[in-house]
Amino acid sequence: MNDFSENLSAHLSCSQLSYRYSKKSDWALDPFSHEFQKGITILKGFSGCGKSTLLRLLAGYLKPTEGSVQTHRGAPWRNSKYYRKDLGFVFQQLNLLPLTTVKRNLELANSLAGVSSAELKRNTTLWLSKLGLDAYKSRAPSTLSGGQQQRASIARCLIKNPRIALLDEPTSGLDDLNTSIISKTLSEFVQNGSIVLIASHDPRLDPIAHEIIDFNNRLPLERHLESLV
Amino acid sequence: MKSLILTIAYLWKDTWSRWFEQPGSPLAKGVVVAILSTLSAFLLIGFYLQEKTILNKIEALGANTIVLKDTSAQSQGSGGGSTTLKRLFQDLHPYGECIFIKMIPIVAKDSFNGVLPVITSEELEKKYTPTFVLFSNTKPQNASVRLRLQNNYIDAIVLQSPDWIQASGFNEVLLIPKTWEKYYNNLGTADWLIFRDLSNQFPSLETIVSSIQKLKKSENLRALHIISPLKLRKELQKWQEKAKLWKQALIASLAVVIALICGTISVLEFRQNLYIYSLMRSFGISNILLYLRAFADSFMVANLFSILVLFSVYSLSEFVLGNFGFSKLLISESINHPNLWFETAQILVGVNLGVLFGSFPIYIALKKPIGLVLN
Repeated sequence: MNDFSENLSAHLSCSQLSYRYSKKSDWALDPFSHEFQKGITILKGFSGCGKSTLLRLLAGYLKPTEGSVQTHRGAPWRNSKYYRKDLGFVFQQLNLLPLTTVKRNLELANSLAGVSSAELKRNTTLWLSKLGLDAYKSRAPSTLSGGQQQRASIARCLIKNPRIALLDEPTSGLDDLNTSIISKTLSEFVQNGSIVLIASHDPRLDPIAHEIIDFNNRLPLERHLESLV
Repeated sequence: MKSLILTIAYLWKDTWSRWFEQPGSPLAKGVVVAILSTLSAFLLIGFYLQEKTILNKIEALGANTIVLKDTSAQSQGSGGGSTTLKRLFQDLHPYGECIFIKMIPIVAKDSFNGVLPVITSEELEKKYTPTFVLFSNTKPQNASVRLRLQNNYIDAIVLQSPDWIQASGFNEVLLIPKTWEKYYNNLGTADWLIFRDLSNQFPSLETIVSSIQKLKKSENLRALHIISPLKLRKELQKWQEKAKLWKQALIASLAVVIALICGTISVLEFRQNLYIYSLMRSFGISNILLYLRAFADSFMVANLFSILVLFSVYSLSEFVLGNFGFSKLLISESINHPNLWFETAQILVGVNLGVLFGSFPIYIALKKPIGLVLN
């Protein structure tokens, strides 16, 4: 598996973190502070409450408008070492590389973490098998079903054994079987001391969570109602 | 290393697939580069040929040769002119080679009835034996030719024509022994002094010509004509300065136009690729590598088209530039000359500068936060 050889313990926290997409737009994320524990944390809340924005801020894919994010490797914003070695991310739209096979998708993500060729081969075989993708490893992502793509995307996120894994709606639209495969995989994965954050509405994931943060409780009633309208 | 190979392989596959899916985009870049390179190449070759034409004229005249022609004795029927030239210009000896020539106002004729001017010269007589020498570049060298000199037949050896003969306005000249001069003295002569500045030191050719002109004025030598390459040299210098400016402006304009057009096309392409670039960046692939990919894309297309065009221009230049009055011989000689290759290689510099400047917006665009592109 991937190296924890640098002996850095996973750390992810944010302080007064807020974000808006432009100066004229509303706040997409109101000030939020939290220190995430090792294990699985589920972010819940209605659409537009800022769950996905928070994940992207924690990943360093967006620059905080105010506040800060801290990881064991410093601030994540444009920190390519953090992206390569420590971060696994599953996008809502999966975003598998379209012009190559499932296997290559996994290999590319893992190779960037700096693993040896032998390890790369071993990890790829392991994760393809763990997520039931052996039969599809030579196929292009566009030829897979939604559930298979979802699993491939999760395999790509976890193959490098990231200290921090951020998953945006990883089970949306999936049947119970696929959801249970993913739940099981994530439960096993956090045993190595990683921090896993899942933004999801899906109550089927609740049993595996060590912590649940409900964004609905953080918001004023009028904004909640606005979202319902 | 493995990651680099996998990344480059994927990016190459992506480029290849885009070229096939949307061939218009690389073709647009290529066609623009090809048109601009063609125009620039013809202009640069034209500049080169023009320069070469002037240089050839100077070489034909003798780059360091002054010809002084004194026709004062032509009507007098005496050899006075030669004495004047000798008296006045004897002092030039230390600075170069001086050849005093007497032009006899008769002509020799060859077997084809070709007319050959006749000269005598002490200096040349010392240099060449036998003393009947036909200076010619058109007749076979070292051959013996029979010529008619008034009522006599003589055999002359053909030797290569020195450059000053062309400078004097002749193609072929017959040198006869000084002893024959006396038969024609009553006809009058024109005297020539050929001075070749061999020193390449002070006084320069310019100084010598200027001194001769002063002397001509002070001695009132109306019949003295000065033929020198100075005017051509000045013309060449002026042309070279002008051509240098034009070339710089041409290469700069080429770079600017290519930067604008390739830059615009590259930005449009980049928008299509933004998703892949952002995805790659989310894995931690550096912006520099992605920028290099975008640069390499334009670089390959632009250089491929530009080099193809340059080769085509070379093969067509004889036809095209021949219509602009350049001699075909000069064009075919120049085309294979490394100097011309160097001149036209500047087009590649302009093209690549354009590609480089045109790719800068991509580097800036690559700074767009990943989270604003990927959902």
